[in-house]
Amino acid sequence: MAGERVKPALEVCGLTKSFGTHWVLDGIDLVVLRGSVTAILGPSGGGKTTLLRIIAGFEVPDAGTVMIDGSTVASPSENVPPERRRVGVVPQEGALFPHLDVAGNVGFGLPRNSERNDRIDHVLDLVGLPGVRRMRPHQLSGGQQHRVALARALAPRPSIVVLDEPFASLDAGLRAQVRDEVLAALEGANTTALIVTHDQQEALSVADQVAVLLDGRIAQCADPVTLYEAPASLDLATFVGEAIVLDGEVEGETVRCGLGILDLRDSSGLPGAGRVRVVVRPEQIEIPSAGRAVAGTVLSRVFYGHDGLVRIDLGDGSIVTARVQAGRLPEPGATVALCVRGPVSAFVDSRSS
Amino acid sequence: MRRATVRFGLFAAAFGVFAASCGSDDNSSSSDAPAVGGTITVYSGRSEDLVKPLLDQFSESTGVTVEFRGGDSGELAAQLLTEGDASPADVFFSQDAGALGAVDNEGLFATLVDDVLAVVPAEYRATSGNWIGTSGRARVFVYNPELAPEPPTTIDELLEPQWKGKIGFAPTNASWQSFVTGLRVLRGEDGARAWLEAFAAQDPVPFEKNSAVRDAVNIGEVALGLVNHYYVYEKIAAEGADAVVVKNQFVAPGDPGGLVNVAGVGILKSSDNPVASAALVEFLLSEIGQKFFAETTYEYPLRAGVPTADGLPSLDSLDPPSIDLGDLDTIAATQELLSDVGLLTR
Amino acid sequence: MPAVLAAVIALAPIWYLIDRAVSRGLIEVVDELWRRRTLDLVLRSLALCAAVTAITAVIGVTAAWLVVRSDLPGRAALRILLALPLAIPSYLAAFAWVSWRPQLAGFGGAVLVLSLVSYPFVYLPAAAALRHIDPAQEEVARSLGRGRIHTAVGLTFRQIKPAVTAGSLLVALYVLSDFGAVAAMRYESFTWVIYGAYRAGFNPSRAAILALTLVLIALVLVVAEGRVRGRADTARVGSGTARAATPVRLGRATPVAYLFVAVVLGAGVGFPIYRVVHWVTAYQSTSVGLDSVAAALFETLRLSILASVAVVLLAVPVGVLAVRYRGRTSAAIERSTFVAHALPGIVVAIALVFVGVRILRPFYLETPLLVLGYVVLCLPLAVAAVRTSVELSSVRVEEVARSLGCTPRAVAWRVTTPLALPGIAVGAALVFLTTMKELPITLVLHPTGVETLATRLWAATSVSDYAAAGPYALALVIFGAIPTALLTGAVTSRSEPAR
Repeated sequence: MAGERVKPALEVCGLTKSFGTHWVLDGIDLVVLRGSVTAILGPSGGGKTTLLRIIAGFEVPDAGTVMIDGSTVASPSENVPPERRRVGVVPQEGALFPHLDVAGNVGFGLPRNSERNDRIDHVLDLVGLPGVRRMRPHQLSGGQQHRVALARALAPRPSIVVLDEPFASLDAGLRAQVRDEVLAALEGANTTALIVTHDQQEALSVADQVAVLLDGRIAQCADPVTLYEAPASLDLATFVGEAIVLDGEVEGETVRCGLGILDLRDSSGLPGAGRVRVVVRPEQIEIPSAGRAVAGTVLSRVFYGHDGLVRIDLGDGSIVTARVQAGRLPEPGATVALCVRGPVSAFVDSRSS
Repeated sequence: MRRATVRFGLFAAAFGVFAASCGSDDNSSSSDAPAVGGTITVYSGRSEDLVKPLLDQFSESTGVTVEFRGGDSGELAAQLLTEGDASPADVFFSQDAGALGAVDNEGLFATLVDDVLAVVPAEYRATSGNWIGTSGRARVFVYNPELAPEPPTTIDELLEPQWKGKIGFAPTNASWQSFVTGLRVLRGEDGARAWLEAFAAQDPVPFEKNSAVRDAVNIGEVALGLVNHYYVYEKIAAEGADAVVVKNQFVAPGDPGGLVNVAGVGILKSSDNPVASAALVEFLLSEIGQKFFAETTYEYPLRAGVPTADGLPSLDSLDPPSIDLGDLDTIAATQELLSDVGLLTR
Repeated sequence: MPAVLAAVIALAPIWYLIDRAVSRGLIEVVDELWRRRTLDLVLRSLALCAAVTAITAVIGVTAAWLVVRSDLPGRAALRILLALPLAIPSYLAAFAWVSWRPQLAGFGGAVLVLSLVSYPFVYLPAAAALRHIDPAQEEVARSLGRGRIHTAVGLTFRQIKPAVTAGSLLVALYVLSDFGAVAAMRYESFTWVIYGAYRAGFNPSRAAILALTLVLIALVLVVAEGRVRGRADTARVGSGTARAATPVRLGRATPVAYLFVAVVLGAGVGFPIYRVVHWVTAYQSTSVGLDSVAAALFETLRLSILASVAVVLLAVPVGVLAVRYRGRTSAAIERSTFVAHALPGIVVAIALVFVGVRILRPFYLETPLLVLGYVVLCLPLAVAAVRTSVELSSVRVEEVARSLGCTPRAVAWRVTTPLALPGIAVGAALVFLTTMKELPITLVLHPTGVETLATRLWAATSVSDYAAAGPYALALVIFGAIPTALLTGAVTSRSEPAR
């Protein structure tokens, strides 16, 4: 189909929703392209699930529109019921039908025809669970239940699949594996997916696009690399990934701070001079180094195997954390020289004035 | 089984239908009985087991199918009152006069013909002529001879201190309330209230029904009970005279405690088969019907010439208080009074 | 729509009552209510209610816990036996006791009999709810340092609270409306007086005023139960479905548990049956033909099945509505079905006569109107059971079904109903049994010529013919016990934990 990748699978415009006096969603705009995976990242209780439920049709928005495959499913004037939206839902807990076996669950949304069985087998293959058709939900492990829930959502070939905290209830060891399997299944089904998560690492690793939901608004919607390297605000910078925040002074294309004079990634939007907040990622700090170096005292270190985190007192009252490769970890108490690799971000200091 | 003789003379006189005096040979009743036919619905406060043989006989001789609806007389009256003109009932066969009076008060009964009314003495039928007694039942004191070797004979003797807490009665029973209604008629409202208040002060023990009162007296739970005369005979018939302790004490002549109430019958105005209904009423008053009650339930037959069961004093010898049973229809007022003195509920 | 219909049916008696209550003017109403005795009656009925409700809660929950969560040997059979008192009519049980020891009559006797015949109203939903609880939650509580008893009280019982309170409400309403037991035990309650007003007083307006007072009390109870139940969300949150619990070891407490079960079963089932058998043998019941018992049995079963089907069809929408669409209207609809349950049978019966001859004349004294009477009486039994089990199924599951293309109606049919099936089956069982032994409505509304076991039994006992009563009573108990056993078995047993 021509232009398939251009026409969005999901388009959300100006969506608002309040419960009583509390605004949960406050003007959400979001576009999800067909075949892509978008993560909605936000703190717990930040309205992510509400957004997902509005998209699925379980809640009615106060204002704004939701379009799926170019047709409006929710607007002030109409609200298409969930069963006619073609949105596959994978709830956090899986929510398998306890009274049906796996085949019954997966085939729930399929018409009773000759293709039904083949489709059930196909999607079970997709999620990597062949041969569980006759099992009952309580006989499956947590990860298996989850994949069956995904297979059930995929079976009727929805326009988009929404997954609510899909990996939150799984233990850490299982999580990475299930995540890979789910991603593979989504890819195999060539499905558009919207994943709601509070885990920034998860969001950055699985999504083509991450929308960060803070205080009922989309703070930034970008590909994971941009989001991480060029966050749109200080809040975002600290929310997505680990960040060292230091006070600094803008000097044209550079900024002066406790780590020396650093290059700014983007000085537009900043005043030509003045106090700012500087964000440095731990992995940008190198020890030892050549070039412009700043001295610091090692306070403590945490060893992770392939690398470690070192807390360093810069002597001016600020403490930074550096990610250092294994084998180069300095001892606590040692004086080290530090330098910063690559450009950094800076934001107008909203505290000052 | 001996085929009983049935006289349909009254029936014939009333409806101008030819009726033969049935002979005593076995097949005459079926061939000579007037063909009435049809179906009637009888609301009966008298139990089916009791009256079924009688009703079967009626059906056989008249060709009338009887649809029997059993229940408590009072409940059936309440049902009739609620149904009003729309009632499917043709005949109401009640355990007591009060329920009949209540239905009559609402104007739901048709008037019976004089010839039918004439069978029964005036004191045992409605003055309105709308219902008629089919059998009589005397109020008596039942007593446990061990606990009450010298039982009282008047209601005022019941008020003696020795009987405090030892008298059983059935406060919601229609016969009891008919007795109190009679008391109101005989002694006036104030007189009745005075007796009832004194009676209430005796801490009488309430039971759900008369048979429970009798059984309580029998086992000695209470010494005395206020019930109808036939409960003791029923128990003797069921369990044998040796097993029964409780005895009847017939009340002194003219005392309100010896009220004779009736079971009776009336025909609904809304009946769609008044002919068959009238035939049933006549049948109940016929010799065969009257004999049936005398022998089966130990009640007093009301038709002249039909003997009472063995061992019972005659109805005339009881010399019950003279009262118009039609006045027993003020049960509601009685109930108010009983409530006020705390005897209906506590 | 069916839910609204259910509410209308349930409230039909109230229409009649108000009509009758004001028929003699409001002065009469005020007079009647101001009597010192009215307050007295309220207190007497409430005292009975409170005592029986408390006792049944203890018996019901203890019994449920023993057979569902403990390792009591023979619990599979006991599970069924413990529901059997449902098959014993209160008037039969009361009569069995009081005819054995007349001194039992009074408050104590009434409490004893009503507790023994009505604890299954708590036991059954409690057992069903206990099965649904995720044992992991209890394990967590234990691991957090809570003792076994502490866990049971603090967590387990709190979780089955909605089921227990719903059951207790049924018990309370049952006690308010019961006539058979209080009459036999000579405990003068509201119902006693209402019966008197009808059958001896021919005073429907007085009966109506008292019955409306009873309705008010019932309303207070229903609302209070709603408060207690609160909005507790008892659905499981977490991955997957619950696994079966590992039975709690009773150890040395086993004999105590057996003693408890033996006392409850002996007094609730064994003793009444023994008395009935005693009547049959002692009085040589030969007068009753087997064919008349069979005919009455057939009619009883036919009517009970019809009533169960009708009630369940109406109760499912009401129960689902009450849980899934919480709001004033759904709450009002649900509660309205309960109010009629507090009405003594005679009131419902006379009310249906009133309604029947006026607007349903073709069905008057025919099966449909009688079944309607059973519906009015039994609706809350089924609604409570359905509601409890719907509460235990997760909304998420239903939402998923919607997203898979199911209309709300299809969701109700394909997901909610199958999940609520245990509750629906419990409801159907309760309706079946209640209908089977129901007396006042049957007596007033049965098609002329149709006799049931209960009407035959009444006819026999009303003339103190125990010999004739025996076979009908025995048939009632036996054929009530069979469906109780089958349904309870189907409902409360699940595959034992796989190990």
